[in-house]
This record gives sequence, structure tokens and C-alpha cells, in this order.
Amino acid sequence: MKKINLKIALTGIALLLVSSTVFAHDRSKHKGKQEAPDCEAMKDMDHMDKMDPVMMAMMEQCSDEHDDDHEHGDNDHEDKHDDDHHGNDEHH
Amino acid sequence: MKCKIIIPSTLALAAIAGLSFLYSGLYPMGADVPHTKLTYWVLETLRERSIARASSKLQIPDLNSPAMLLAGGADYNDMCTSCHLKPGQQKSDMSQGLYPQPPNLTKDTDDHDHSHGDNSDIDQAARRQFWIIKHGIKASGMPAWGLTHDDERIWAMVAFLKKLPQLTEQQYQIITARKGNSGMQH
Repeated sequence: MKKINLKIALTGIALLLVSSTVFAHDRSKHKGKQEAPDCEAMKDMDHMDKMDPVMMAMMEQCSDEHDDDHEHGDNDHEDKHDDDHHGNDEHH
Repeated sequence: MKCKIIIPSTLALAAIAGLSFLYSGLYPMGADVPHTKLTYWVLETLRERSIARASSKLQIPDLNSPAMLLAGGADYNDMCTSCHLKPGQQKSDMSQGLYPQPPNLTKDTDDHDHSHGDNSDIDQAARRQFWIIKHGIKASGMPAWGLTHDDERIWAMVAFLKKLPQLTEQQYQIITARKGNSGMQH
């Protein structure tokens, strides 16, 4: 009986050690937290310098968003998206 | 001759008094009772001098890349806001309950109510932030993220922190939204 308990304990410790090695903080662990950037809010930010890293980062986020829209067959705003892409290409 | 007796006796008494206080349990350890000014100064000086020395040789990468802002922003939003807040947020359970109180990183460093050592040098401020994120701070609630995050990801958070005080709520939302492609691959 004692030998069985010892085996169970050793197996448990081994499992804990193995699981701790894969407990790194990986981006895949955030899949449930994904959200869409509110790119509509960028319309009110016209005064920003387009070479500002913050502006460039937002444009990158939102250009990806537009690409995703195209991939999903959202052609209703095609002209607007084309305009945005021209703007982004200058800074990428 | 008197000195040979007085000095060791004084030191022995001081040591006995210190140990007696240590074992008495009289010092309040609750996070809801602030340190005395002297204790706070000692601990803060110890912390800042240690971090300044340990971080002084770090090489800073280019922190102005939009990809770094996006990667660092998403990580900051997931890992840091519960203590260090985000634009439009004034307090949280953690920001109020931890002691020492975690700095509100949406404010410029000049507006923090604690010392950062000599951080007039912008580069040294970046090195300090990197070191703190990577190694954490003992007995403060700040974890060592370097155990589970590589240097590239931590520098990305430093890049984001440089811009955070100037971000509006809308800009923050756009930059920190994690869509599954945060710019930097590992």
C-alpha cells in the first residue's frame, strides 16, 4: 500500500515538474482576450503627425483591420479602404 | 581604555535592542499601515540605488518602431493595467491595496508620488523600466516577467510605456487591441 502511495506521489511530482516547464507566458494564451481596434475613433485624430510612431502603430492596426474586412468580402466601403491604404503605404 | 569598553558595549546593546525589536513582532507589517518615513527612505534608497547600478550598462534598442508599440501595448494591457492603470482609469483594487502603491504609468514620471532616483536621463529611465519589468522588485508585488518573457518583448513594453502618458483612451484602445498578430513573432 505504501509503495502505491509513493508511486502516486512521485508521478504527481513528475507531472508538476513537466507542466511548470510549459507554463511560459505565451501570446496564444491571450486568444480569449482578442478584440477589434476601434478604428472609427481615428477619424477624430486628423491633427496627428503621420510620422509619429503612435499614429503609425494605429494605422498599422487599422490597415490590418481593413485587410481583414476585404478578406471577409466586405466591399461596401471599398473606396474608403483604398484611400486608407494609399495613406498607409507612404509610411510602411 | 574607556573606548575599548564603551564602543563594544554600545554596539552590543544596539544589536540586542535591534534583535529584541525584530523578534517582538511590534513592527506593523500590514499593507494598510504605511512605513515610517525613515523606513520608507531607507527602502526606497536601497531600491533605486540597486536598480540604477544593475541597469546602467543595458543597451537600449530602437524604441520608436510601431511594431514595438503594438507588441508592448497588447502585453501591457493584459499584464499591467490591474496595478498600473490605463488612460481614463483612476484606480483599481490592486492600485489601492498594494503597498508600496504601484505607480500610475499613465502619468508622466514627474507626477508620480515617489522617487525614481536620478532619471533626468531619458535613456536611464528606459533602462530602469526594462530592469524592473524583467527582474521585478522584492516585496512589492512587482513580478519578474523575465522568467517567462524574452528581452525583445520586455523592450517592447518599455517602448509602449514611453508613449503611454500621452495616449488618449481611444488611441490606447486601438494600439492595445490584441488581434492575434501583435507585430513581433517569437
